Amino acid sequence: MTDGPVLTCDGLLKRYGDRLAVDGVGFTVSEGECYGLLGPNGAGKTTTISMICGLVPCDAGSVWVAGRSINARSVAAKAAIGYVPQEVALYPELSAAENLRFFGRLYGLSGAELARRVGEVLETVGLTDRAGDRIEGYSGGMKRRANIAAGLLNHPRLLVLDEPTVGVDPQSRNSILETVESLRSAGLAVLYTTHYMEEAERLCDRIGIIDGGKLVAEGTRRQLVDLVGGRDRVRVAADGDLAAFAQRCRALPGVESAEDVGDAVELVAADGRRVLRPLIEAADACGVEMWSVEVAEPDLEAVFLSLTGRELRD
Amino acid sequence: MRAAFWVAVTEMRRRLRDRSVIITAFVAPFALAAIMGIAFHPSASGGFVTIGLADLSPTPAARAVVDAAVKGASIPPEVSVVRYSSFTAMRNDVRRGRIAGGVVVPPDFVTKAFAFAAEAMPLTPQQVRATATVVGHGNGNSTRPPSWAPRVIATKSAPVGAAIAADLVGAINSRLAAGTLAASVTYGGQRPPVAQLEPSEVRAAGVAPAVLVVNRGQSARQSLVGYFAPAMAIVFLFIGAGTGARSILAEREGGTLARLVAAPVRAASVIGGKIAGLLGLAILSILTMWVATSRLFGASWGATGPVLALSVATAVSMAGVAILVAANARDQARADLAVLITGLVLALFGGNFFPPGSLPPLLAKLSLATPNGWALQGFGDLALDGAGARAIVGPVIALTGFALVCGSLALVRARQVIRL
Repeated sequence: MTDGPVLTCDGLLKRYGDRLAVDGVGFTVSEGECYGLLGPNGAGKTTTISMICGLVPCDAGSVWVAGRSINARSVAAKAAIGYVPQEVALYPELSAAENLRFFGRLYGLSGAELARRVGEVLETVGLTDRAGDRIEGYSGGMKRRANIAAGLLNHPRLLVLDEPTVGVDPQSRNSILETVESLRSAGLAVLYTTHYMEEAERLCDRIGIIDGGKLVAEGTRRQLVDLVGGRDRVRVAADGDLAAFAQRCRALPGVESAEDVGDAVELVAADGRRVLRPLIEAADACGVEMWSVEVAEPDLEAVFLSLTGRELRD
Repeated sequence: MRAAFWVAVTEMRRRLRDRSVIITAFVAPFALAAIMGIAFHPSASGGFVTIGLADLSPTPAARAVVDAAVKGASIPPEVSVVRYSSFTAMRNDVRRGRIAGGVVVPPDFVTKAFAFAAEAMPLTPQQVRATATVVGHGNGNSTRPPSWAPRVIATKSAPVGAAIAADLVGAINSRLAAGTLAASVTYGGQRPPVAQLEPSEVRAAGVAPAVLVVNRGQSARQSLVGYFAPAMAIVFLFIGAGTGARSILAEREGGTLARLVAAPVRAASVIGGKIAGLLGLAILSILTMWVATSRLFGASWGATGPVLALSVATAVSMAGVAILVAANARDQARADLAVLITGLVLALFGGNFFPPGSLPPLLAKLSLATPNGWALQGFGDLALDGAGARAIVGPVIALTGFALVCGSLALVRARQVIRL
């Protein structure tokens, strides 16, 4: 155990020819924290984590994992990292258990310890029953889960997942996200790259938005929304004098606007959750019977659009 | 080392589970060697080229003289000689294509030949040459042969058989010329009593006794399979090693290479393990061919020790070239194509399809610019000539050189590939 962040990277820079793939990226990830790198394809996410995992040398900057410097020549220091590549990085002609035993051996595991650990990670990803089946016979979701299992073999301090849900069905995606949530809860530091804002919102304690190789913003979802001045939208479906109700809502603190749209009143507020109680009181005062209330917070898509001028899935 | 070992083991396990590798490394070369083994099995007897010999000599002694001459004729292992008691039967077999050609020895050949030599005694050196010239007509001399001399029975459709038969006639004549001269000396320049000669007297006269017009067809076939079995094994081990080396590119594209590099092991262990796995398979493939063709076809590759040493040297050098070729390709498809083309070119120049001895001198020399050419020279010496360990020293040194140069370049390239 080390004090401070499990991962610290600072000023990472990588150039391929004339193209600057990563330009001065730096952030930290602490124990039990899930940090999301959110950005479109080609933003520099994979290059960044490749430098963090010591796969490619940095042109500038530094990476520290569990108190040890990482670079392309590092050997022992890599033992603290569990890496889950974007592709299913397993041998299709071997079974899941054979793959895991092989990669476990590369991390110095052997004998009973290796067997126990292989069993544990298969259990974690729910593949115990299919351990002896060849990877090539797995469904897409099962391959992804086995891919994650291989990254957990070495009891890593830092788990790096590079877009682990690309191309999987919703059910498998949910299973993968649940696995990541449980690992984070178990104390792992998780670095998670994705271009799916829903995943970043669900999993990540903090998010770094990366575009054109630069980290353009980072923080919690709320901080990012606030950063770009995002507002919540609240829709109150109700019966009664909705015009009067809308007028009363406009006077509430934090409410910027309120409109009667026929069967509901739609409001814009800085923080939708904070105006819920005053809204209910206002409805009572106006004799309006409320059917439902929906709070739509600005999503990361809007944040990304605001920060970069283009959509996340461009 | 531990990591490299497991990388190598896993590489071999994966390749063996891949059926295409089993086909290229084991099934295909074995099938081709088997086809060649069957192809070189003529219907008449058991040789590559079969020549008939109808010896019409009337007495055992005269036949023993012919036999001794045939035995001493240095007939190559690819040629088998089948004896006929009837000239007609042999001629019919030649016409029907059952044998490539035939040699008929007339009834009075031995007697006349001895008489010719005796009458020439004492001989001057010029006369010795003249004697050899007349008797040695079968060597292509333009002098018209005497009626009692052996003659060739052949068809136009089998020119090789005709040529070999003519050579055989020449060889018999030469041996007989030497024998008759020696016999004449033994009998004080008098005509030897050929009709009464016993085998022991023939031996005393300096002509090796009797028989041994052996049918060498079976051993010749075995030796030929012994040549073509490694020839085919080399071609396919090259392709197999190239395909395996291409898998490094596939691993880079598939992501497993990244996972390997992300593990706490040195890049050298990853590369070393991968290459060791490929070499292990290459060696296994050629040794499997050796055992299989020896057991199933009775093929003779040569003495065990030299064959083992040459097999390992061959596998290492050919795999080195294949890895170098594959590693320099941009992607898997290009790697496959490059390996296939290089393999075919090497096979053509190196003699895997046509033995260098059957090629023009320039191409025969060019074969030694290829590692497979050196390997086949070694295997040929072991299988066809029954040579010992000394014969493979040159090939092993050359193969080691190829392995060092190509292997070093391949390692440099592999390190570049592994840098993602």
